[in-house]
Amino acid sequence: MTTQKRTILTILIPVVLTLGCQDVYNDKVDTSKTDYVTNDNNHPNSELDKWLLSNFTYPYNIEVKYHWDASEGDLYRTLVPPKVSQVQPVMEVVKKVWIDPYTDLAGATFIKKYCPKQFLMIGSARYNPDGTFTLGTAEGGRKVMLYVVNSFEPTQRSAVKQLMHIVQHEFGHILNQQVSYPSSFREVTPGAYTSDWRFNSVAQARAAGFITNYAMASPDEDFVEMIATMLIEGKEGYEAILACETTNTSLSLLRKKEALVVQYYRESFNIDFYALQTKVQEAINGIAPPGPGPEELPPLADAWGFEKENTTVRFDLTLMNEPSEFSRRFAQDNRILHEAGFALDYNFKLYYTSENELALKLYYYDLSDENKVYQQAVFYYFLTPHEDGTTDLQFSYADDNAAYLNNDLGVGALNAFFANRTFRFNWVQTCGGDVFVGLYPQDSPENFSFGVLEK
Amino acid sequence: MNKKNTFNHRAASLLLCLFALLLATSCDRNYEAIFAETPDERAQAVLDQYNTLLMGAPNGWKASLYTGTGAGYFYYFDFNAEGHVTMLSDFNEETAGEPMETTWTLKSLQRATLSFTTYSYIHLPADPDGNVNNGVPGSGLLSDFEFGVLRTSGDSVVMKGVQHSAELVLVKASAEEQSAILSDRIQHLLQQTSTYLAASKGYRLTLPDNTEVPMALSISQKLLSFQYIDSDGTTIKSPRTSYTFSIDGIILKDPITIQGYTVHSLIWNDDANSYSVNKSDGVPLTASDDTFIFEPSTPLYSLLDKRLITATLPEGAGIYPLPGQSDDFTALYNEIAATIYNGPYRLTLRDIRIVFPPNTGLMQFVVTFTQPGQNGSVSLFSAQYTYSYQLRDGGILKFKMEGTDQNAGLLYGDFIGMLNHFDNDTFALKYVGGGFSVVAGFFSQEETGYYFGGYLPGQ
Repeated sequence: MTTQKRTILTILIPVVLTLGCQDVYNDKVDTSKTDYVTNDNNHPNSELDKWLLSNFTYPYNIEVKYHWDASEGDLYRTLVPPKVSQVQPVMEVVKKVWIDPYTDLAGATFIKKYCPKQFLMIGSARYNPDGTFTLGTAEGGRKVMLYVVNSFEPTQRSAVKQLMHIVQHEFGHILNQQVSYPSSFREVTPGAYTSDWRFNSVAQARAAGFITNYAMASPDEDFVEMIATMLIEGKEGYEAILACETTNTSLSLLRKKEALVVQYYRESFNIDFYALQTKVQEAINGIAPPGPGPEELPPLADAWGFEKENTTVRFDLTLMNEPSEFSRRFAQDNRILHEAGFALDYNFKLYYTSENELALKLYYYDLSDENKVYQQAVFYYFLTPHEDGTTDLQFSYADDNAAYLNNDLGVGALNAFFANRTFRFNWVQTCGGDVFVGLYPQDSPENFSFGVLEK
Repeated sequence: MNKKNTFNHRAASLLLCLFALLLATSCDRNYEAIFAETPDERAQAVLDQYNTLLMGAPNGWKASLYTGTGAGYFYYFDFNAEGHVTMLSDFNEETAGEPMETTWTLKSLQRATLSFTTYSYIHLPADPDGNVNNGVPGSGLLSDFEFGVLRTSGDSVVMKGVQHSAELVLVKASAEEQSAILSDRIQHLLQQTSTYLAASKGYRLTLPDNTEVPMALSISQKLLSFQYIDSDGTTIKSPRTSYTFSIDGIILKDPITIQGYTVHSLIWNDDANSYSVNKSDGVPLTASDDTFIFEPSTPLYSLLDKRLITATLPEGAGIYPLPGQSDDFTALYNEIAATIYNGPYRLTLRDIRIVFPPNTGLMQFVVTFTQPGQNGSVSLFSAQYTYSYQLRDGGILKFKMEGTDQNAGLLYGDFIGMLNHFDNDTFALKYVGGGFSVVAGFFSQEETGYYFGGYLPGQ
């Protein structure tokens, strides 16, 4: 009985369904012509389109999209499309520094298999509500967004490195999604990963066994930051970072991570990572060679001074590896301030206020105040230049805050470094290869300090 | 199987049959389609229609763009079938003289939408980099480069920006207009207008009843304003509007009507090198270096102590003097700004405000300035000098210093040049015209070369 009923029902339902809705619109639709409302691709390809097709789309199945499509970007931000003339220079760099080295070492199929399928070009930066802006993002290993294309200058080494760091970083993620990295990588610095990575400086990260502060975000980011930093800084730059900016402990941690990255490339993709590193470096150097060393720069007196192009030397104890005597002065001042309930900021600066006056500006804040409202203390020095190129710095005046720090609290070690001494100012190159302004006291030049030149 | 289950089973079967029956009879198959074509076909037809329209202007299009911040720009477009468009703009002198070829397409979004798909002159006001267009970082001038077509009427196409609702109106250009635009007419007018504005401190329009009306014109902000005393004899009106250039001169976005006399446009006269109103033989604007003083039936001094009066000298008053600002004052202002900038606190002078709070008998001279702080941040500070004043016959003011706050004390020496005038001179207080807002002017009675003013809040 029940079986019979079921049979009847099984027959009835399809019959009813076929008798169901008919639609006069859809009856007329020619299925070969659906989804055809478009004005795209009606136009002949430009030279640029042909170049992109023959360099990215045909060989690697990568779409490079530079014509505006609001739905690809962020509908809630104001963005603009790139200048046509900027597309090829940017993508040439991408090809030379990313695709070509991999293709040389692992063959064309490697890129075809693993590459992100779309590059989206945006002319402007993406401005964030907090006043910062974003230069590049990647979505799920499929799409890479490149911002500020309109102001990209391929001859600027820092711009090339910044752009390609993003691309190598995102490509690292994609590789990890295909073949996961050795699980032992997670055990190198366990427990040190934090969502508050922003509050750690690069120097603090490097002292804790991370290559950048963003690497502290998670093991995934750590792994790809290792890849991107090693490739973009090159053997030389990477070794210089390790030599200058790590402790013994953090050095061995970073070496362990390095070995795991190399192992991952060898075992998963049969790629010699160091050979890849060399090729990436050669490509970057070919596009934007490193800047001149100190001997090729103009005399410092022409570059730093009152009403010169730069008036300020900025010190940053989180990024710069100052000689220990100077670091100890900072530490001493900071310790005294801490005892009084304040903290000294890691940044401070020395700047010309007139032809014959330099000022040292320290920044400090009340430890109990969560908002870190900074106060400034300024010490002034009168300058007397000598024939031999040296300059006397005579302590001349302290503003109210500086007088309070110096007289009431006894915060005076940094001030004493400059006050009433004779200096020689000259370019100095750090072991990392960067060029800074060195301040050499005549009485003990080995205990110098250095800072970065700013406007 | 118990009884209850059997009952449920039967009920279910019955329901199922009922549903089947309902389904079979529920559809109304006898309706007529409203449109003969599918939505796709109709959308495509609209695109085709606008494609033909845009490419079908034999001499290209002249367009006016008004951004979300109210700035106006002229554009010239010539669309071609290869997806290219040639454009010019009055955005600056360069974009007015150098035709640029860029890409365009029509998209089927919520409406048929004209999209300029790669960076060009139309993207300049829309660029989120405020350095490009003097706009706010992150949003620029709230402009667009994708515009939905709202309607067409006659020779024009009215469009609205997709993201920031900027207004774009395209009008077919004539052969004569096209040839003028392509031979740098717009660039020429921009240059001529700059020269014209620099040649005189102000320009005035004479109404049919011989009333003189001062005009304010800014090329960088694309703003135009006239000022007049309203028919009630007491209020000073400063209606303003944005504008775009055309091959004839300046076209106002909204016409300004002054006591029945309406201004639509300013027409450039190439022979006279000057502007006249509405037509080439219209009333010419006249140049004058004199300070324009309004004398409404209620003088400014009569409002003292009755209403809050705030006169503001904005930042940059030393570079762009306000109407009714003497050269002596400008020199003093610049000297003070340089002194505090080069001084120990590295201060940048911002606004100066002269405030008369009601019912106090006091005047506050408030200086605001910024000081650079940590990591490129800046902090805003103010210094306040407080004066009492005496109102003498004929509306002449005599000031006497009553006190300073702490910052004002520290800066006393730097501002001594201005403070001395308050201490030693007497001042006439008058309404001054010629700016975008009315200026409260202070005229020293002892030193005729020392006078200055500050903008009053807009009506």
